[in-house]
Amino acid sequence: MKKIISLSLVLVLIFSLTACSKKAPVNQNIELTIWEQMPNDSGQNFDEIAAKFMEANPNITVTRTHYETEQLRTNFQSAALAGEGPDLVYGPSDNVGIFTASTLIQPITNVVSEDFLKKFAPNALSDGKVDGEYWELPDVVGNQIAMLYNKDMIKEAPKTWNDLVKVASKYQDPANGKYGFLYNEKEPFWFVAWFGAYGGQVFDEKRNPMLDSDAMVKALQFTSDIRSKYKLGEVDMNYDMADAMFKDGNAAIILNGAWSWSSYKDAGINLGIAPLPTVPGGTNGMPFSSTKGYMISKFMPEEKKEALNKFFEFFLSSENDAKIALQKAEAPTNLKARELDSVKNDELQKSSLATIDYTTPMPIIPEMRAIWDAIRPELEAVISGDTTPKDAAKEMQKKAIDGINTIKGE
Amino acid sequence: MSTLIGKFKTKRKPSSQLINKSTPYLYMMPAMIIMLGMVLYPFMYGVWLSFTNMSLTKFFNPDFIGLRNYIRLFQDGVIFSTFNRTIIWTFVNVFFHVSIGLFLAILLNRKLPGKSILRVLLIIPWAVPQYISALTWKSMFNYSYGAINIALKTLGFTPINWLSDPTMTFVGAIITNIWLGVPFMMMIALGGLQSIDASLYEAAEIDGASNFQKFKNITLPLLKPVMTPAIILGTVWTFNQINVIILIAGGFGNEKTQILVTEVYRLAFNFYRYGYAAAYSVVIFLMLLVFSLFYVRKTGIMKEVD
Repeated sequence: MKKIISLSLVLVLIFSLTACSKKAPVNQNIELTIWEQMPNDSGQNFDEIAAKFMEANPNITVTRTHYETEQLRTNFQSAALAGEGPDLVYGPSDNVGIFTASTLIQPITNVVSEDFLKKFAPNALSDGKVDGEYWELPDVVGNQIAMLYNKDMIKEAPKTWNDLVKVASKYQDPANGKYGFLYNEKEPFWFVAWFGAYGGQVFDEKRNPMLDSDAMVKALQFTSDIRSKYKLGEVDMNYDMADAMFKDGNAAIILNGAWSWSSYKDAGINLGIAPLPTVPGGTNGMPFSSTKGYMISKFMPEEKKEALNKFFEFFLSSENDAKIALQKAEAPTNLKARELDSVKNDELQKSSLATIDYTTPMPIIPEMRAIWDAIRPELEAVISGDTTPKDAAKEMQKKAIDGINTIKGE
Repeated sequence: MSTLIGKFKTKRKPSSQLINKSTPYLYMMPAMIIMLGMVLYPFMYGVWLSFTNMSLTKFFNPDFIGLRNYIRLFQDGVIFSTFNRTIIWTFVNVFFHVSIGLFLAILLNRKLPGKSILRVLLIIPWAVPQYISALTWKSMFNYSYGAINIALKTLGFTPINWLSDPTMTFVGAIITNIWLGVPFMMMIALGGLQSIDASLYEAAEIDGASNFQKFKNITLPLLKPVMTPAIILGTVWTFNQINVIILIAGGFGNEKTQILVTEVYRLAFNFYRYGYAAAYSVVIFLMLLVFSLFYVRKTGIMKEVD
């Protein structure tokens, strides 16, 4: 019996020791932990800024941990459920809707002043606004898809779809692996650009899905026409293949997002960037745009507030915001950063600002998940000819409603 | 075990009997505590979760809702078609894992030129990280540039739209998973084959047994104790295989390619229906439990252990 008692005592001791180690005194040295979803090169940029920041503030340490988009969300959720996790989460704004619904984050105005917020582009800030509060401090806005063309093949960016067909058809020769126009047609994030071009909106004001609409039928028809009627594109085209084709100079025009533009310049492509063309019977392709930024965990300890304030002041200063924004051709949110010569004279930034007007802000409410999941299978079915655009639109709407009810727990 | 403790008993005084009896348990205690913490606690937590309505809006304060998740699950109806697909998925996969694995093991157990090279080649699918293999297969399924369609075209067949047609995507996932699962069964079977005494075959040969008779009456029965646990394991693994389907189908979008576990994952991490997803997992657990109990009883594999 004694053995059991002593053994359990030892165990209790071990557990309490490990428990203690988590609550180290924080008065002297404050550690700001951040979980982020940054591409590799942006991460290095962040580290450079962090190094300068820690030099200026020797009592603050910034630790970042990298996750992929989905892992960031799920890991933060499970950590927060146990009352743990990082102080800050950095990532795309669509997480804001999910994190506010499950009350995992706190408004940024708990840490920064209203005055500080005036430095930022109001439409970027409003991307992270839910129920009248700001939940995300954005550092870049963009993420929009644009038309990328190889200037060695296409002299001037086509403005309309018919113009595009004219110039692109010359290069379309799939048998020899050459293409005039390519994009990953099965990906809903690309598809919503056509939906928007026909005036479609995914939600009405009451957050009800609006997928069974005339705009949806037209957009689906157009998507299907790209290959069948206009003889452009390719069966089963995916992101990586379109990307590789363009980099190798085997595709004249592709559609890809702001995050990718610099990689084509690096690949030596004579790159032209333009808004998506106007579609037959519609307007310009209207892809989604969104912000990326910082969210503050509900469980961030009070004593870190001051340090966090300093962190924001430093990382979102015009200079540092510009540095982050220049990396990925996304527009800085700090208004003064947009005035800097480095930003003003940057080719990609110019393209970014030229195309951002032809975008719709992506809804950040959690219901969006159900929209994506509803679009994909029906879009695929229309492309492969298994269903008609009309039936697909009906089915999408049904699936979206089901999905939203599932999310709401009804 | 009882004889061991019995020996201890006779050597010690009766007063220390309690300690004697608890000694084996004391030795096992560290492992038991870890098992309790790592297996039993999360399991019980999952069961508890299945009786609550934990979801996005009820993240920190879920309510206890009794059996409502389970009732909804069977009212929903999707579970039945998904269940059928899961059965097809599991059966086809395990069938080919075992038959191909056994076939290759028998080949490798014979005198073959270049056997060691062959063995390495056959184990490669197992050594390569699963998602790399799955993504490689996915590119091979590509319509215009995939190796499979190019081969089909060269042989004069019409290329198949693997990744756009949900049924074919599912077939593609099965092919990929068969390729991934064969090495495990082959290794197990090979181990079993090597432990069979060669004299049995010699005796059978003297009695004039044919090759098939030898296989049926010597190889199969003697492999049974090795293969049964492997088949149970393989079935549970395949039933719960989430990566291959998601990687080949490119996500959870199309419900015609989903099996039960991917559905659970979708409910929990796409739709944040933690309670409902937990109920789903409990049902899956019960299915696998019944299967394992039935299979164990039918094959009598655990008899010696009892």
